[in-house]
Amino acid sequence: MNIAALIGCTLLVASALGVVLLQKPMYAALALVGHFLVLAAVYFGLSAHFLGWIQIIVYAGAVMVLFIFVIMLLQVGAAGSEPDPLPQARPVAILASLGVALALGVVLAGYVAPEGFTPALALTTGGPEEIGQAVYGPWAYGLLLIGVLLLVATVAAVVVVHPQSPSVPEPEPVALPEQQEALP
Amino acid sequence: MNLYLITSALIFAIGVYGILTRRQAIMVFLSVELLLNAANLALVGISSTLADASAQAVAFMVIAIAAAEVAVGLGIIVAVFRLKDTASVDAAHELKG
Repeated sequence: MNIAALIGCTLLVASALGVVLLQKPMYAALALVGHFLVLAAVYFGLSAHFLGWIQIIVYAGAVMVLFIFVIMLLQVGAAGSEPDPLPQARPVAILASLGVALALGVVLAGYVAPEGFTPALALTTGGPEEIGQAVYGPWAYGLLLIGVLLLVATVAAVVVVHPQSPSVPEPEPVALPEQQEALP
Repeated sequence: MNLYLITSALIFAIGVYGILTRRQAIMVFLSVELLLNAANLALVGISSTLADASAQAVAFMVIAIAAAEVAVGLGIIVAVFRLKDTASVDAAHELKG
């Protein structure tokens, strides 16, 4: 447990707290961008270089652009100062999240690496070559299913945002040749 | 004891708190992203501990699924905003008993 890992994990928890505690949605989104970037750095430290770059490109790039675009489109920043309609839910939420932290913490802190474990795909740098051998090898069916899922999600996103219910458009009235000749 | 696994549990709990307390749909969504990333951090931490690349393949798929989830979820939020003129999760309560 070196000092860099400790700093990285502290920054991760701090930026996650920023996401849930900052009132303005734009600030929370920027805290999430910081969270993603620190997470990418932690991935680099854990010899997961490919995942680190994917984290930056997909999450800090594409996903956060979508989020910030929607925040600006809906102007939810103005609604941030509204009074909480359920103030009594906050202690329950604190208790529930503490329970989750306790349960997960007990389980994960008790984790020990199994004796005599031999990795199926040895990890050296976590570059695209190793991840590719895993994704296109034992996990190929999962990859195919995710391809179908992405296709369905793309169609669903277009259908949901489409302003009218999908229906067959009325055919354009075709001008008859006689009417065109009758025009002056 | 693995530092990354403990951090992952903490981030997951923080995300649960955010989901339970935030009233704006987009902020609930940001908290869901925290949950996904906490799971990814645990996967990558395990992968590093065991020196096995398989867990990183699973984390890669989690990132792909998260991208699909964001596309559909933000579409739903925009559709609800058009209908209700608000992005609050309390606005969509037609199915409330």
